[in-house]
Amino acid sequence: MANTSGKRVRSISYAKYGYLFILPFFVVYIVFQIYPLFNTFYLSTQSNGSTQTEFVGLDNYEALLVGETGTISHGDNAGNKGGRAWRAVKSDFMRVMGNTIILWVGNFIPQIVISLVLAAWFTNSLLKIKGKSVYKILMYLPNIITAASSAALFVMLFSETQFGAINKMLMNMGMIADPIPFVTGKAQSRVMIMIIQTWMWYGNTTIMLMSGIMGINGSLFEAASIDGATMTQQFFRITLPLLRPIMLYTVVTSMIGGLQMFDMPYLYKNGTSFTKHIETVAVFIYNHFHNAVSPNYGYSAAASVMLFILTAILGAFAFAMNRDKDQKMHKRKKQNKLL
Amino acid sequence: MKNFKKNLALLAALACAGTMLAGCSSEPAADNGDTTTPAAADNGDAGDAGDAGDAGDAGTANAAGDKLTVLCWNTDDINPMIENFCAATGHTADEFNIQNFGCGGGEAAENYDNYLGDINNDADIMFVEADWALKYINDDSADKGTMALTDIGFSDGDYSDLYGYTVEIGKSTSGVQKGLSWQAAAGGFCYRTDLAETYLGVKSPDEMQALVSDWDKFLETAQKVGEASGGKTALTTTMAGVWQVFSAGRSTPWVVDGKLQIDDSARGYIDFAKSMYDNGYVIKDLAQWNTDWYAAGQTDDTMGYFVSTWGFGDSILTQAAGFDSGATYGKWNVVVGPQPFYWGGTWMTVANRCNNQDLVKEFMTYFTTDAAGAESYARFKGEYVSNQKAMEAVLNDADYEGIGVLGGQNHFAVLNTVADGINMAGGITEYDATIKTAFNDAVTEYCRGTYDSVDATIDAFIDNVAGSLPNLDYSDFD
Repeated sequence: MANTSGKRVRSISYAKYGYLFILPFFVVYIVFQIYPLFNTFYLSTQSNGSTQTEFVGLDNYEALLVGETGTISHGDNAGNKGGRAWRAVKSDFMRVMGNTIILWVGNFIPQIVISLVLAAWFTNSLLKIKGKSVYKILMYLPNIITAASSAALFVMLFSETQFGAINKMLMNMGMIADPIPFVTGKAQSRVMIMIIQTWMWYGNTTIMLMSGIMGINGSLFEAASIDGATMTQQFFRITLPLLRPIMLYTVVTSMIGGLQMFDMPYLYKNGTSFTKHIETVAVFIYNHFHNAVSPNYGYSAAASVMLFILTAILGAFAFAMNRDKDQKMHKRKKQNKLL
Repeated sequence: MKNFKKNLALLAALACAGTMLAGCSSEPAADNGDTTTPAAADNGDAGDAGDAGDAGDAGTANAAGDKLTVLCWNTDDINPMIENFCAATGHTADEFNIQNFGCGGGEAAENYDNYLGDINNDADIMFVEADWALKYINDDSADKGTMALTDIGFSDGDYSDLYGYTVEIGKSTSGVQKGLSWQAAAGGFCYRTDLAETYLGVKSPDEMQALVSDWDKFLETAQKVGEASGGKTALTTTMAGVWQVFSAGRSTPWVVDGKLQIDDSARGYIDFAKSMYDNGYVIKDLAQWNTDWYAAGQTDDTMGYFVSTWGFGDSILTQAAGFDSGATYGKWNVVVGPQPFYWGGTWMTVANRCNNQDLVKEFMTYFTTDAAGAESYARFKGEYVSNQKAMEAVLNDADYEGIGVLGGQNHFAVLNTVADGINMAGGITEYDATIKTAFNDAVTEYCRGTYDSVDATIDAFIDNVAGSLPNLDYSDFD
């Protein structure tokens, strides 16, 4: 645009109407996005245990990150060590952080592998798969079912005791003697969440990757096959490198979604008690915020802020990793020229 | 660039439209909150006419200047109460304004706090649940606090006909009576009569009670049942159910002077639970409120459930029996069991901002201390009311035929004994629900083998509590 604006055309400025029209969007954005964001930062400096909060500085961060040996900076106990309460909340926070990362990695890797394979097959013109759109719908279906229903379904199927459908079946077939603790066991519950999350999201990722692959110029594949490249070579040399922008998008969105994973870990439980091995940061935040007798706004806000920072760092890292090398070279050359 | 602007404008317009629509859908709920201010009530919003209390316009307010506002989380109780009260006293439903937050009991406190945060919102009676009643009962502040019942004309001698425990729970930690319940949620041990006869040779509830009258006998009987059934039948269904009952027998409150207390009975429970679990005297890893919990009642895997007054219907026992055509329907009986206990219940408290004190007094009296009123409501709703005189009148009624799931046994007589025996004096704190759950979680993990000793279990329990209640003093356990 800068190049074409050599001659200025006189016209009526419609710009002010444009601003007027987009104003409501920004108002809504500020009220529902910016304000809560800053309010979270504010709340993270407030005390716990009551709806009437007071300023405690960075105590909540110290509680969550340092724990027992941290020093209380405000209030009646100023100068004392954080003690048992801080130790407990720190170990809780570290546990949920670990769970979140394990659960995200454990569902992202199988999800991206399955989705890549499926996307490559479905876009390959040589395979001539019939009824592609039917498959697309079928793959996407688990994502349409609400998490609450899926969780209820899985909790019912994989119930802990001999009354659970899967356990009963395995026991009747003589494959196991005692019921498997699918919901409360450490490895069992985590694997279940990974499977459910993968099952729910692979369709979404597949469709995203398929659109990415279809965006690649077909003549590249043609030229490659004329030159005698095998399917595997085509996949690794053409598809994957050119899929990078979409892959980046998938990684970033999946990471944000994964770090905020809430519905499944919250709903997949035995009766009313949470399984500690699948409690995520989002569940931690929710439970502290909605604690009826002791609403711990400070802890939950501080955890939210740390999650926000972590997401920002990982996001930036993903962008840096995926930056096109050629693009970098190009920039450098340009800079050199200018010099 | 032009396209970009166009798209931006379109996006903005869509976003606006979207949020406007979203606003529409939640408007009735927001409206509901406004009906108490006179100006909004004048609008006579048609959308909310469903609630009995909202039906009228501001013009019909009573002499005190406005309506009696009741804060609650569902209308299951308040609607029949108002109906029964108005029929007996000549008041009209127009005099009431129901502020229903339509949520689970556990989330009600949060909604109350938000509502009470605006001093212009009217509140007279606040329903509170046993688990968090003390949050409001212990609060004397003008905005969120509650008033002593003596301030609206009750005197401390008025409560002699009420079951003692319902009166105790309505007291603040400093002993001021601030809440009363119209219901009693005493519970007993329900057992399968056919299995009891096969495995224990028991033919009547009295014989059964003799076998489970304390926890040692309970364990012995569980062992007998286990041996006689070849390990197939557990005496009771879940560990959480046992804990619900066991914890009613504690003598020290969980928190004294802001410090966490672990009394000997709680310590003793850990071993008791472990032996129940390891020997299969409960169904391993079964959790309350799961579908399996109900399913177990129709098999021979369990012989008993702990059930409270409200649980004899569909919410527990009848569903566990498979409803009225179920495999075990009518094969149950109830006995007092090893420990008198209560489970849940709702209390009425009076908000400090109450401006309808006469009507509040009349309303509360009718359902609690007035035996005739309470009896009328007990019959009207089939409620187990807190007034013992009223309840005895109902259960001595010759026409009463008992309930089907118990094969016609009159469970009121058993529950009357239980309710009379519950002693909660000074044993209640506002933290009980959280602490009891934390304790049960730790013991459950111990049973599963996560911790290898009782001490490790207690340590984990303290961590559970310290993590969620940061304002208690844990210096004794550092």
